[in-house]
Amino acid sequence: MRGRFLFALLFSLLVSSEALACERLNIISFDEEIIEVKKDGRHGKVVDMAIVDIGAVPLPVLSTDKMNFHKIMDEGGKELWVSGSYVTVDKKKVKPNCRSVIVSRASDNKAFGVRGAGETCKRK
Amino acid sequence: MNTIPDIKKKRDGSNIFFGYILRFLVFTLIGSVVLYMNPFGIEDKTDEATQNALYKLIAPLYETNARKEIVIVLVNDNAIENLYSRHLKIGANEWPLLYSDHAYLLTQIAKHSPRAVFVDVYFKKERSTDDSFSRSILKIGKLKDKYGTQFIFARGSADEELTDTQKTIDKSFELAVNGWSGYGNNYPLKEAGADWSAALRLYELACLSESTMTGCSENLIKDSNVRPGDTLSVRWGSEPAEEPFPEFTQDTSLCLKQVAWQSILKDFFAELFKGIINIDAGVNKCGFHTVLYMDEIIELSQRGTKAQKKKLSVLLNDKVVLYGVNLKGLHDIVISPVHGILPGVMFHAMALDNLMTFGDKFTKGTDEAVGDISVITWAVTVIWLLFVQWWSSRSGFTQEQEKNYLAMLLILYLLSLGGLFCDDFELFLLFSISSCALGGSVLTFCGVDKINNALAKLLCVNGEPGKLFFVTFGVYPIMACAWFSFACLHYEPVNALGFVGLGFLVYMALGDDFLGDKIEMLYVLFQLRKYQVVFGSIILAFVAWFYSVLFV
Repeated sequence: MRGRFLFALLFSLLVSSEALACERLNIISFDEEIIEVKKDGRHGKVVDMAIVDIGAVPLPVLSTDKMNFHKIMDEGGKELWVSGSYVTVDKKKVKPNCRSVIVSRASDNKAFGVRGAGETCKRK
Repeated sequence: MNTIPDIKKKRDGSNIFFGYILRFLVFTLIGSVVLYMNPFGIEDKTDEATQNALYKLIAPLYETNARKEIVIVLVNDNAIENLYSRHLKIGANEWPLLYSDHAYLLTQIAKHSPRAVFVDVYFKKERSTDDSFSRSILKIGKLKDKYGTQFIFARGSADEELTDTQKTIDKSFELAVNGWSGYGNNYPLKEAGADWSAALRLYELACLSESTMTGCSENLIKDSNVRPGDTLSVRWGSEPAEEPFPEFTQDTSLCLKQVAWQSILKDFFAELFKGIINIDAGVNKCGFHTVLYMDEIIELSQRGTKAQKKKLSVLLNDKVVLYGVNLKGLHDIVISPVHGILPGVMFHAMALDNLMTFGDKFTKGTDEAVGDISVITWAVTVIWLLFVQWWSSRSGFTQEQEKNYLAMLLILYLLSLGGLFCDDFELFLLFSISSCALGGSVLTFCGVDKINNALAKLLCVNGEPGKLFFVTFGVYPIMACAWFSFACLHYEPVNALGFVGLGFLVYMALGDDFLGDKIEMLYVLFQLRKYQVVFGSIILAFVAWFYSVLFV
């Protein structure tokens, strides 16, 4: 009996943590009348498209690529990749923003190197 | 062969007078040569140190009228991280952002209809890894039409040839110079070839358009006020801007306002004892202008309350926005004498603020005129010092009051030279009154209260002005001229005069015969006649001047 209870507890924990990790997103609104989409798959060309041709919100996001394009199905059931810049999604895990008021650094602060150059270089 | 004592014996009244003329020529020549030669760059360095110290001291007095019209929007590491991971709004998770990301971010700014947006990001060549350039330019172009915002992009330096990418940008928007070399810490306003710098172009949009912004000074800068090559010596304000959204910030107590005089006193002592107690070390300061981070704008636009959205709109509407970056490992920085290292875009913002605040009375960087002024003022300084020297060497004064009045008249005369041309008369008056009071008091002490007064004991020797008097009053005309140049002629503060003057004062402190003997040695060694020395000095001066003009 105790073993079953423990199994059930562990299973429920596993399910809930997976649910948290894979947050299911929905597009809840379009920010512009015309937005950027890729019609021909993930690696297709970016074109402008009127939102009336896409469909009514909410639209479930099937996946999101590294460039923050969201994969959805339009009204006709065709795959579309929509730019995240011009849509609002119901992302819940948003921590409050908190930044420092300080913008300056000490006048003798130095950095010897350029960003994006040699970051991954290793000495032989 | 004549010896020095022989020569001294031969000197009569006219020789003494001639000796002073000779000294005047020699000292003026030495000073001029030093001013033009800038040996080992010492003059530049001392100028910079003087300027930084003064700008830091007067920073709390900087007016804050214009800054409400200027907003800086920054993209930093935190903003990129938030925009990419939290808001899923941009396609790049690291610098450089995609062109389409910039277009998106500029769209979010343009929605609030700012008057102008200066994009302080340098698009020199279209990246082969990003195909969104053309699309982005079209998108930003539509914003210009839709919201009436003028977009100005960073051009680089004026002597750079425009690439095809830049020509495309220039066709749809405009480019403004944002880089240069050879101007030190100053900000060139108009480069040769009549290319306007970013700050001057933004000033034109802010103050010279049909609806002048309220932060603009009444003394508007006209095109004729700025010649190619003119520079602005940027003065910094130290009063931190009010945090627009304190709910998004931590450590708000760090940016509390300080009473101006307390700030000045603190900075004065910090500078004075810098070598002993560096109280400013490691202290980071809050900026002078309102800073909004790009992720903050997106957050407020997307999830802000009604009040927050309204506040954001008020902050950006009809304002001049400067869009720049503040990223570790990118060296787009400026060193402010007040704040330390700041993002480079803040230099443009502060330059614009200076132009709006001071109008055509902005503080000019040094140019050829300053060199001439320095030489002339140095000559006046020499006359003044020699006069004091002659005066102290005389004996048999019976009317002490006469000396006092003479000194007062001379001081007033020097001050009136400045007062005649000075626009900021209140500042100059304050300095003049205090200087006159000091001069008059010292001479009165020397002449009247010979024994009992401590100050008289310090400054006077047997009722006559002593060496300390020379030092005190030798510094006076240097300060007067330097202040006159800064407050009245609106030139950046320089201390080249102080550099030369101190050398002279050292001589004065050493004694009358220190250089006098050397000059007379010339007579002995070379059997020179007086007119030969005079002509020789003049020829030497011309040679030095020609050398400095042609080769330095």
